[in-house]
Amino acid sequence: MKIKLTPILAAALSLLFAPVLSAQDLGPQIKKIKDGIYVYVGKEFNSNCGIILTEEGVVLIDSGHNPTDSRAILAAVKKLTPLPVRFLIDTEPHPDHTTGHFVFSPPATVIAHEGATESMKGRERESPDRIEKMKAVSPEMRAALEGYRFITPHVEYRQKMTLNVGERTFELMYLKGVHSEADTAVWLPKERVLFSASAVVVNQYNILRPFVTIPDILAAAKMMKGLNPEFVIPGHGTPGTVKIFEDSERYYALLLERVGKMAREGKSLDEIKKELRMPEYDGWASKDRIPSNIDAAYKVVKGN
Amino acid sequence: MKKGSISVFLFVFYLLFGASYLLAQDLGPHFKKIKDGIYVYAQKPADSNAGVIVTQEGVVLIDSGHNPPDSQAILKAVKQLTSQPIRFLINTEPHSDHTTGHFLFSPPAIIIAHEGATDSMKKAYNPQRNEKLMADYPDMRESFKGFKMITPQIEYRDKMTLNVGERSFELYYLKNVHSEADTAIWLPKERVIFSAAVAGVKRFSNLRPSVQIEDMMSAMKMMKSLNPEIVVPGHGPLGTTKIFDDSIQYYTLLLERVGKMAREGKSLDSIKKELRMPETDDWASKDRIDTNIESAYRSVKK
Repeated sequence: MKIKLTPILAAALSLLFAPVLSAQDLGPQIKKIKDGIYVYVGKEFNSNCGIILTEEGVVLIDSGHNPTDSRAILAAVKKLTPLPVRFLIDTEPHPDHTTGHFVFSPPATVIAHEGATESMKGRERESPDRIEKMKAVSPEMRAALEGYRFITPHVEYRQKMTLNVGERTFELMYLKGVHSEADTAVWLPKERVLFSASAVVVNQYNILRPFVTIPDILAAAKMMKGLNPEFVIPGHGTPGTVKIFEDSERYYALLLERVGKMAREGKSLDEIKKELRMPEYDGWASKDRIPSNIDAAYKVVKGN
Repeated sequence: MKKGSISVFLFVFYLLFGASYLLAQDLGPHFKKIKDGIYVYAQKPADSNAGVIVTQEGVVLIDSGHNPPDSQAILKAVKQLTSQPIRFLINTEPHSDHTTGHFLFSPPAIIIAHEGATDSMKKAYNPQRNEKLMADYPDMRESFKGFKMITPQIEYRDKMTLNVGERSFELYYLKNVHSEADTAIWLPKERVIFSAAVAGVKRFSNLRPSVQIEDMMSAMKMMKSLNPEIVVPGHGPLGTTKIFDDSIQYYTLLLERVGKMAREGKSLDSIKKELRMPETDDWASKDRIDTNIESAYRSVKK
């Protein structure tokens, strides 16, 4: 009796457990957000990648920080579904979100905001030996870069786009002046999950390039908060809730207040950079970016 | 010449002139080659046109043919032209005479349309239309096998660019010109424009209540300013920017005459009875003139 029962029991057990692939089995970097929605969370503020399963294939949001991440993402996708990766949405064109595109495309169709291709090509021209340098990092990186091709977006939308795949809808929204030349937030209205790009990061100072403005960042954060998402997945940092936006709003309000006060006292930008203290954010990473934040705040308080 | 050398000659001749020069003629009489790798299909003069554009990374279709038998003819021609798959299908409009055959291409083709196309297709979907087509044309039944209404995967707003292989496609929304979601497709390098159903050659358009003549005219002016070499309208023969010129001229005249009559106190009904447009007497689809007058009347009464 016991002998006969064992295979049946084993079969029953495997039936019970086979479909329940826990996020744990996908490796420690994969976090399950909702049914069929996973995030590959970058280590130490490396970029995040969204993996969304649908009845008609997989949609990725960014392709991982480095090609080694892209390979790990592809391995996870293969464990999750036999369906192909059909679309890859770029939250931004920077290499830490796009170098691994060749791992997925072709056949995946790459989607980004207008200007992404030009931004990617510009950076490629600036550092033509980028990939060779990357290969030299480690044997794993060299292996992951096997078959490398520079892949730019097939679809470039302007302002707003909707992507319908199987049972899911993805609303793509352009975020102007928040981080790169072509930032996209991706909103899943039914699932109430928002991929918020690099408009705001978590427990980290963001780099504010000369074309980035704090009012644009605050407007983007307000717009995204207005969508009322349940989960917010930033371009970098631990996934969370709208608290990510609130923390950022508070930080920029304080920064503007202090920089404004010092500017009104007649202090120069250089002096402000030397004297400004933000002890509330001592725990944040990437302190080397603080001067770029002060530059942006100074522009606001000076009215230009 | 020996028999052997003749066959070698024929073989070389075939290699040189046969295999590499697939004539548009070989694709069937309804295909017209307009540039290298760019073809247009239309069966009857009034049917919708479909564009077939071959790239190094697959085929892009513009609309999927008037009815499923047309879609099948397009599919067959694509297979003759290239071993590459049809990767994208761009809709110039959501109406059934441009979209019923989608199921023959997608999946795997990704369908692209302007915002509102899915809603429009779902609202207008009428299975009886398909049944009637099959009853009227029994040979159509076969091509409807596997029919499913396929709505767009991508809905853009206002402007979009599609890059496939060596080609770029710029998609422009044309507001209030024909349907709820009209798109013009511009190939800047090839200087070919697929101008959607805003205007045809010597044919009156059906102007629905949502259509605005001013919007049509500005859409045509915008497309003309792109300086295209070849204009492929949604229906009817291909042409040049003369299609836009003729149409703008017609609407200018129409607005002028309807405006004059309205200012003279004439009612819409009497304008419909009295208006004469001898300049466009040779245009087809005269049953649509009333919708043109209604639209012009709305404009002049604004």
